[in-house]
Amino acid sequence: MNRSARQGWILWSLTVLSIIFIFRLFFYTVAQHGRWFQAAHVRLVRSMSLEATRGRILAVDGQTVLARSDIKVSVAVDTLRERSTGRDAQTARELAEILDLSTELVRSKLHSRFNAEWIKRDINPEEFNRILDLKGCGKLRSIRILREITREYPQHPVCASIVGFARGNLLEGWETLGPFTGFKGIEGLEASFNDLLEGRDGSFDYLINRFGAPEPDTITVRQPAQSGNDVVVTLDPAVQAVLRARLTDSLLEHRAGSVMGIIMDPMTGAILASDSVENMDPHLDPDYRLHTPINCWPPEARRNLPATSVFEPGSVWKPIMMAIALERNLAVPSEQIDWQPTIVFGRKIFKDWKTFPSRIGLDEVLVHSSNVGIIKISKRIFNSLSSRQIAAEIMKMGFYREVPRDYPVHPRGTLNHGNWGPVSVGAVAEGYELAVSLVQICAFYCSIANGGYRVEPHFGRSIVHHETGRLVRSLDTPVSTRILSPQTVRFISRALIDCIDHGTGRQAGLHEYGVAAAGKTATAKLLDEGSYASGKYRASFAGYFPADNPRYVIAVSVEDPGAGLYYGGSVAAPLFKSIAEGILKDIHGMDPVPEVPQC
Amino acid sequence: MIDRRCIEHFDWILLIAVLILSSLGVLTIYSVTGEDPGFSDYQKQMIWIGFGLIVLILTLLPGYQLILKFSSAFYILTSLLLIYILFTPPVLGVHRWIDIPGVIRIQPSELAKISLILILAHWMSKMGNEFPTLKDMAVPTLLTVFPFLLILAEPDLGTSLVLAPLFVILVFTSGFSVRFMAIFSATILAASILTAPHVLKPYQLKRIVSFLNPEEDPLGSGYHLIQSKIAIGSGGFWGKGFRGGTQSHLDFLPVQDTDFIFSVWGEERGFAGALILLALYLVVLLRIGRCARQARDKSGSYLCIGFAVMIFFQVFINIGMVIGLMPITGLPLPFMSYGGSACLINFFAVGMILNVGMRKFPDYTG
Repeated sequence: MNRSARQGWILWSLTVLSIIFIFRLFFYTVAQHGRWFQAAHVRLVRSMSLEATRGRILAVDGQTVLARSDIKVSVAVDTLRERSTGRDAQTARELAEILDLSTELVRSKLHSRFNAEWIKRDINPEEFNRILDLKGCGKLRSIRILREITREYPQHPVCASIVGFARGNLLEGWETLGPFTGFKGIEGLEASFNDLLEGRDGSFDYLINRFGAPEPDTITVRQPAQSGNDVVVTLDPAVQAVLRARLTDSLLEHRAGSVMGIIMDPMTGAILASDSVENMDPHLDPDYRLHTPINCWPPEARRNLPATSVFEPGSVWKPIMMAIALERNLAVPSEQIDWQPTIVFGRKIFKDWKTFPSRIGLDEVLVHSSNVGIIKISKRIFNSLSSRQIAAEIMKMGFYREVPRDYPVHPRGTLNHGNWGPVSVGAVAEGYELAVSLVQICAFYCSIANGGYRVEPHFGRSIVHHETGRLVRSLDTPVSTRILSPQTVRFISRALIDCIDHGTGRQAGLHEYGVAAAGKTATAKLLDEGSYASGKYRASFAGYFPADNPRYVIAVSVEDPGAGLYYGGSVAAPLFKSIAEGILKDIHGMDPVPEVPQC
Repeated sequence: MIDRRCIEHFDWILLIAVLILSSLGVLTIYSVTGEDPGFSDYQKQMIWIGFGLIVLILTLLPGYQLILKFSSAFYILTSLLLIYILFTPPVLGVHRWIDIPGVIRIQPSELAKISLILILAHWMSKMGNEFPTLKDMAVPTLLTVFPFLLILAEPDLGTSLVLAPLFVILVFTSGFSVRFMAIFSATILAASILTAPHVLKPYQLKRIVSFLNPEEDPLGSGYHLIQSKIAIGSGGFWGKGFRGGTQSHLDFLPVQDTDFIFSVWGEERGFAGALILLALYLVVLLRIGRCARQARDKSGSYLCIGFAVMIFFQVFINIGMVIGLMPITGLPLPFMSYGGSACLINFFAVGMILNVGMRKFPDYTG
């Protein structure tokens, strides 16, 4: 082989080598492209979920915030990782300079005995960007920027028991620091409107460099996070504040076991306020209430009794029985009833609470709350209708139904009509042997106030877009079902006005404001371990004002007043008046009209 | 010096191919390093190419025979430099550079390659036999082994390995017995394998191990090769586009403007781009082969072959390295990689080849 041939041989060898290279390149770039592309993707691309911002809960005015999510960005250190880097001096120096902290302070946090420690919370965008830049260079590898979400309740504690609370999960890996994520409504309106409030989480991809730090400008949103909607509720914080204050005063004044109250709009069924106070520390210690988040209160202190508890209503039930009798033509408004001091059903003797004339008008039964009078009406009902029919009539009036539906707890109550016996004729007439909630009672009085239409008690008013404020959907429930004839309404409402004018509810009168009110008192015995305890009563009142153009329906109930007074007329009626006064004065700016001296 | 016929025989295709490769190198360096507030790397490389072209022109002026007359002196000078640096303080654990602060930084091992080519071409062209004997090869062998051992002692395995094929191919093209070469090569190879664990540094051994099984230590010694494969493989047929390479731009790919510049090119330009680059190198290789075949004398032919080996050993080792066919050695890709010394030396080599080519006519009397 001569020199020239050998040179040619070398050239051919190199050409063959080139072909091998080309095949190898083809193998990687075309045949195995998917494998290597995936390998690159795994190393470069990181996905992160984009938590949707939970919507706000707004009061009836659509402006006052009852619940909102605050987001802040904070800096924390993974101290275990920091120890392994051995660069604490440099990290402390760089962080201190960016965050305007002393190097010693930062260094002490880096050396914390806990696994993680906050360096600075709620940093500004400039600090955020500077830290990100350093991380992009492979520095500050033990430092994490965390998104802290907190759920704030600006109207705490006034609206606490209605609004409830939402709870987040601890951020994985940073449990000791307690940043929360993924809030879910646990109680109150937060729970019942959770689906509307929580929105839909999104996700995004970003690229990391070889230090594992995210690269700026590489974010690709895979699915945008959809913020939850804002929910406007019917709650009026000003009315709620009045209610809360008066309930507390009443509890203290009467040394009661508990006091509850609810205020509704009779035209729509919107619940403007609802609260209860009980004789326990969280309720009576204002400092505790103010400074302790509701989720830290004992469970029994978080209850909103008007919506969540049921009880035997007593005499506020009498208008319901009267309404059934009138609607079924079992009584005539103008008729007179023979009165007697007692009446016997089965082995039970029912007594009236005072002596009445031998004949009383039908309206007097309600105005003076005659037990015998209403029992005689009840007897007509029980004689004419079956238990099932009576139960249907009661349900038609809005009882034994789960209201308010947009509140997580809504017991329907107890009717137990299958077990009614001879005694039930008297017991049911007086508001015993059945259990209803205060919201159900209030809803029935709304029907009297609005001319006979059934209302659906509710908290939800509308759903509005979180960012634009545009109305998404109205939650108002139309009022259309008439349950009482105009004649019945006219008769009962007149009786309720008279009840306040000269009946048992005189102490609920708002005459000094020039406002007519209507209402009914109740004094019911309390059950204690299966039997009625002596000396334990529930004083209730349900009514509305102004009587000629009702705007507020109020139902209150004072359980076990222990200061001597226990009648509905002397305990619950003044509470009604006090709440109504608060509304008139604090919200409508009305003052009592001075009495004109009579010559 | 230069007459009209020299211009007529000038190989413009070779020069243009080299300039295209250099331009693609600048483009790729710009892609990975981008703009710096001061002097950017791609701008520095452009300046080095400018200097390289000056070196190339200066190399063209004297006839190559005249240059070969100084080959012995040049060889002695570079050998002294190689000895000298072994006694200088190590930089990053190795003795590779002579640093004159603020003036220049010389890597004697790079000069050693040139001096070895020059002296071997000069010496072997003097051999009278058509088929040299073992005795004829004694001096060329010693001339090669001496700088080889000095460079290995620095240590600089990559550069020292360039000297071996240089010698082998020059000996092969000189007409030396193939059978003997085969026995000799096999002996050297066996000796290398046996002595490698004792001679090579731990990191050099690691490179060989990771070449054989990169997945064994994907975050350590196998990291470079895996990242390079990912870069090239994920580029696909058409690549990710100019400045679109993720492995390079997110710093996963190591020394991306020098040793792994082909990976960057492959990621951004894909298989199609890699083919274009290989085609350009093939053009350069074929033109050098043409020069070698048409050279006026044996020394010119040896020079072409020597410089071709110097350039293409690096090309094949570098590309082979980034596609997993060769172990990681740290050799740059000629004309493409960032680096001043390598740029000047490569342009010097091209200058010498063009010098031989433009003086191929028989009655040249330069």
